[in-house]
Amino acid sequence: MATIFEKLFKNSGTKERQICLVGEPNTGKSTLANRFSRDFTGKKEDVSPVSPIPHETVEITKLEHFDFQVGKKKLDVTLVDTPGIAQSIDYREFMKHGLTQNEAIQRAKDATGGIINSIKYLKEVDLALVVMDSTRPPFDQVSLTLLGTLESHNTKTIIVANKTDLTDANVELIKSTFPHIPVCPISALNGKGVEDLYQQIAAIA
Amino acid sequence: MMLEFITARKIKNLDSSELIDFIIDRVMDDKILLMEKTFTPEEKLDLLTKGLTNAQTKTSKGINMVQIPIETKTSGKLRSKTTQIQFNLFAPGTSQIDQQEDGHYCVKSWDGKIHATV
Repeated sequence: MATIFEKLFKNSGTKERQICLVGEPNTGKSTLANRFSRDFTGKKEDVSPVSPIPHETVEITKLEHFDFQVGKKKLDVTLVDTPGIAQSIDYREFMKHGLTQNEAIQRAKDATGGIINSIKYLKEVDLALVVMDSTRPPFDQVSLTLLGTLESHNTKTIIVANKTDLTDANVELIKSTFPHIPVCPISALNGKGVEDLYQQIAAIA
Repeated sequence: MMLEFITARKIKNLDSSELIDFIIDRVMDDKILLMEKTFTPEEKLDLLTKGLTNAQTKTSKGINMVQIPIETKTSGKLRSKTTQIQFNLFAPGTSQIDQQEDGHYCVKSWDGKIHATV
C-alpha cells in the first residue's frame, strides 16, 4: 500500500518540464542525453545511440519523468533527444562512412523523417537546449533558423556549446554571435561544464 | 542548373504559403534562385520542412539556403544613407553552397562543378 501511495504522490507539487535537445547532426545531443540519464537516473546503459556517422538518431528518444534535482530546485523532467536538423540530406554522404548504397538510401529516408518530426516537436517544449559544436562556425542557417523560431515562440533557450575538450573549440565566437541568449560551454564527453549547465537549467526552467 | 533572379516586386503578391511553393517548385526543377526577400524564422523552418517532405517522394533531397545581407550606400548633398537588403540563395539539396574567401557564394554539384557564383 505504501508503495502505491509513494508512486501516486511521488511527483505531486513538482513542476513538470519538457526539455528538448536540438541542433545540427553530430553536435553531441545524444552524448549529452546519455549523460543526463547517468547523472539523474543512475542507469549505466545509453538511452540514445552515439556514432560518428551523421543522423545516427533518426527517432525522437525520451527519457521520461525523472527527478531533476539541483540544490533546492526539483523538477519532474522529460528529456527529449531529437534527430539532428539539416537543410538537406544526400545519401552519398553516408556512403563516405562505409554504408552500402541501399543502407545509405534507407538512412537518408529515415533521417529525413526524423528531421521533420524534430521540427514538429519544437512547439511542445518548455526549454530548448540548442546544442552546437564549438569547433564549427555558428553562422549556419539551421542554428539561426532554430534560434529565431524558438525566440518567436517565446521558448526558453540555452545554447549548449559542446565539444570544448577539442583544441579548436571557440566558445567566445558563439557568445559574441548570440549575445542575447545564455551560452553554456560543456564537454558532454568528459563532463566538464555539465554541472554548470544543470545549474542554468534549474535557474531557468 | 540555371540561376534565376527574383526581385521583391515579382513576389510581392504571394502569401507565405504560395511563396514557399513557388520556391520549392523552382528548386525541385533544378534551378538556383537568388531572391530579394526577408524571411521570418517560421517561414524558413516551413521551407526546410516542406523541402524535405518533397525529398521523401522525389529524388531531390531538400533545399539548401543561405541568407545574404547586402548594404547599399547612397550619398547625397546633405547626408548619406545606408540601406540593408536581404537576399536569399536557394539551391537543390543535391548541391552545396560554399562561401569563398572573397565573400562570394558558389553553388557546386556533388562532383565539384561550379554552377553559379553570386
